[in-house]
Amino acid sequence: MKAKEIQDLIDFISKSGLDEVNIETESFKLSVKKNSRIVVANETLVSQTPAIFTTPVNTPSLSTPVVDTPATPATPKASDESKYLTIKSPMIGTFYRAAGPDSPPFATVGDEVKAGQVVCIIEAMKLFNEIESEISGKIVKILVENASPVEYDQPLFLVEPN
Amino acid sequence: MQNLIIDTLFIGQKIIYLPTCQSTNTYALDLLADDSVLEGTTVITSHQTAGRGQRGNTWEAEPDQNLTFSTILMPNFLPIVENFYLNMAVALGIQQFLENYLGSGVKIKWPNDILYNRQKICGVLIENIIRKTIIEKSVVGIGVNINQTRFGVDTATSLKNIMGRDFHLEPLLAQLLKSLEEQYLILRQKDHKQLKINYLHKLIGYQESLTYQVNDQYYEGKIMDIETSGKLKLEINNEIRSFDFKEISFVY
Repeated sequence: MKAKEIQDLIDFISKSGLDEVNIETESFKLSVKKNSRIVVANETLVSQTPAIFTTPVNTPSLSTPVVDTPATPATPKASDESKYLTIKSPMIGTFYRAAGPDSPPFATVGDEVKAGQVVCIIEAMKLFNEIESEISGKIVKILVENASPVEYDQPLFLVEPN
Repeated sequence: MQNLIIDTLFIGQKIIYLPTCQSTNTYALDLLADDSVLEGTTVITSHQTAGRGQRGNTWEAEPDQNLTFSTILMPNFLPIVENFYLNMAVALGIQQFLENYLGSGVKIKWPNDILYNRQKICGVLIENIIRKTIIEKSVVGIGVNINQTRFGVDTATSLKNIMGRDFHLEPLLAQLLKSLEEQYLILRQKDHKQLKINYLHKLIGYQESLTYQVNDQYYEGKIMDIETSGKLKLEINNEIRSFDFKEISFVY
């Protein structure tokens, strides 16, 4: 499941009026609880370990409350991520991390960026758009591969604000 | 660039002439770091040593023979989703300027090359600075082949190759900047409808059957429209399909 899809889902849930939602498939478990500001996402990559899933996944009973979701390793990471902000794509296009194939990237993990600083290029219909960050902070993660297509509002960078 | 009289409101009212320069677009982008830079500021060089085309491509032009410049625009009235109208205005500005010399053989190849009878005479590289959801600033790089007669590829031509004589660059620059400003003012008035109609009528393949390549397959198609995003709407086998720049190429 992509970060964008998770985000869309959370947006959807937050508007739904539900206080708590648990979703579970063969490949992931997602629990969202309103007001707690904690998102627990535990993703298992089915494709890497197909043999394990020849028998049905041991699903918790329906009455299992969200706190029992077996996602202990992911929990601290996930709650850490709640303090991060994302720089999102303002448009549909192709994401480039540098001005040209031989140029250094605008921003790499660990870099401090300032609001107004160019962090990437989104190319659309041969127009090259340098995208300025709206936030200041440290780049924690780059969420999109260089030269890959991006959608409107897709998160591109995870930033620890300062 | 002496004796240069430019009869415009703002485009080219400030000219920065560099005898030699790696890339006028890069130079102009660097100028934008200074917030006091004026809209319409134009950087021109006689000898561009590392001209940039589309990502990773180069733009090669012999020294002193051609128009090679970049103009700074500030279309902060234009939402990013309407980005392609800037492209239409620029392409039309160049097309109209060249049509004055060369007549109706001057056409736009989607999205922004300018061709004369299927040979390229002008290339465009637009680089925008995006803040939130608007185009804050834009650098419009233009290279027009004027007096150069020999090219590395046979798909290129020049004003001299077509007209058989040399041209002074200064008056041509003044006319081109004026023509760009006319179209840019239409954009600024938000007359998108007019821009699109004009653009479509100068577009190669508009309502005309041509061969296109899509994923190694060849199709006969007619351009019926351009989406706001700039995507091409083609009628192929009585069906309308839209294509991104990377998904389709013209076959000559």
